[in-house]
Parts: sequence; C-alpha cells; structure tokens
Amino acid sequence: MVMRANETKRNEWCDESHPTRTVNCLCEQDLHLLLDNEYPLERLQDAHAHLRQCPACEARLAELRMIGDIVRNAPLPTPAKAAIERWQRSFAHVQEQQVRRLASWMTAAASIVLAVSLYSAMSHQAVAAPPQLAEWEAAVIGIDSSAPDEQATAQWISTDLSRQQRAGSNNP
Amino acid sequence: MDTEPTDEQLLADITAADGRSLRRLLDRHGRYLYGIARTLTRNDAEAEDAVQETLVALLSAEFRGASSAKTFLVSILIRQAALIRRKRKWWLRIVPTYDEPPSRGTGHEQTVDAKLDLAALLDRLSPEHREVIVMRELQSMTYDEIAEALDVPRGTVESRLHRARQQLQQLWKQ
Repeated sequence: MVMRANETKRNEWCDESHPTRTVNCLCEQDLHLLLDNEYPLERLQDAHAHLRQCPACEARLAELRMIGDIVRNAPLPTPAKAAIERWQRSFAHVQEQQVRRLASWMTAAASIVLAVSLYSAMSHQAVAAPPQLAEWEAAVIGIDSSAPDEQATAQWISTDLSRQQRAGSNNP
Repeated sequence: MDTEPTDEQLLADITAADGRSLRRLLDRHGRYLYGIARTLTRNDAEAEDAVQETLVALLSAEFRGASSAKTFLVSILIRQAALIRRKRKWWLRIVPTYDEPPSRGTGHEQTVDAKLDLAALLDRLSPEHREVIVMRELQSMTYDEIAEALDVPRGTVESRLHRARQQLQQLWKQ
C-alpha cells in the first residue's frame, strides 16, 4: 500500500507531456532526490547512466542546481547595528528574572520546610513531655522541681516508691 | 596561550555571568541568525524577536552535540520564527488592517538590483516553502532531519521542496 501511495505521488510529479521526454527520462521527483542526495542507492547508478546520455534531463538537473546556488549565494539581510547589544541586554535581563524567580521559589520552599519542622518539633514536645510532678511530691523528696534533670529523677523515685507501696500492701 | 573557544564550549558556558560567551556566540552567528529569521518572518522586528527568543530558549535547551552548534541554533530559530508567525496570524484576525512592510523593491529598482538578498528572493514563497528551502539549501539538512524539525511526514517535505523550487524557477525566469 505504501508503495502504491508513493507511486501515485511520483506519477503526479512526473511531467509525462514534456516534449523531449522519453520513457527512461527521470521525473521531477527523481531530479529533486538526486539533487539532495536522497536518491535510492540501488537505483543511483542507473540514474547517473541515464543523465550521461540524456542532455534534456541533465539540463533540467542543472537548472534545479542553479536555483539552489542562487539561494545559497544570496546575501543575507543584516541586522541593525545595535541589535546585538539589544539581544545581549535582553538575554541578561531574562536570565536575571529567572534567577530571581528561582530564588523566590527556594525561599518559599525553605519557609514551608521550616514551618513544618517547627510544627513537628512542637507537637513532639507536647507528646513527649513528662507529667508534671506535684509540688507536694517534690517537697517530700526534697528536690528542686523546676530543674528538668532533678524533675526526672524525682519522677523515677516517686514511681519506685509507689511500686514498693503496692508490693507492701499485697504482701502483709 | 589563550585559545579561541569552540561554539560548543560557548554554548555550554552561555549562562556565565559576565556574558562574554554569549557575546562571542552572537559575534559569530548573530548576523547569520538574523538573516535567516528575517528571511522567514519578512519583518525586521519579528526577526529580532525570533533571535531573541532563540537565545532565551537556549537557557532551557540542551545541546547534545548531534549536529553543529550553528545547526542547533538555526533549528531553534526556525521553531521560534514559526511560533511568531502563528502569533501574527492570530493578531491578523483581530487587526485586519495590519499590513506587512514591503521587503523588496518594485519596478526599476528591482530589475537594477540583480543580487537580491535572500529575504527578497524568497519573498513570494509561502512560509512553509521558505522554511524547507532555508533548511535544505542553507543548512543542508536531510529530508528526515527537516521532517523531524518541522514535525511533518517526509513526503510533505519532499512535496514542499519540489513546489518551492518550481516557484523559484518560475520567478527566476520571469
């Protein structure tokens, strides 16, 4: 099917009514493919052999080649003198904007991370904080309940005493 | 001894803060890029914009070295010129009075100026035909490369090239 589709296109392009055309003459598509080095390799030798003996096809190919030469040799339009400076300034401006945008994104991301970390730390503290020792318990044990280390020790002593009490009441 | 950096090195170093790499790259290829852009867009301001957008696109594009740096730049430029052209079409629907400035001399001036510049030479071709001619004749890109760059089938590239050359032949004979 693909072959048939290509064949149809090929026939559309071939100028069958050309006065000097022979059965073996190269069609327009062939000439373009030859010119652009896209001609199928397996048929390349035949095409070159035909070109050597057919001045009409050779002339058509030369004409196409000339068009390419004209395009390639045509001078390019030149930019205004200040254009290069403008491009450079504009590029630097865009680059600066991108850096600023990136910086603001990073600041926002850092703020979010900080906020989440603070929240997490605070909630952890709330869960892990040991129960406050009652003032009377601290007074009985004789420690300073405001010092965190001493508070922990007092807590331990208090727990131990209550355990001993429970053990004593169970074994009279 | 201070050796001249290659285009590839300049591309890799284009974001350098001092802008020296960009300046060198523009000195080497800026005029050429503008020439192609002007040929494709037929408008000075749009051509400058296309080059500008190409440079900006370099900030996010990655040069893999599959082609030369110049070909890489031109392929971005062609895409940017096509985007600008599409935007212009959108504007044309809103502002129907917009008229493109003539880029080619008329009458006597045209016949005297035998060596027309490329933009003037391709002026009468459609944008699609101009694109393929530029890519094929100036950039020596293969049909497959053009098809990939324009995102069209290879057969479309062949037929566009064929018609573009036919038109140029007719114009040249006139």
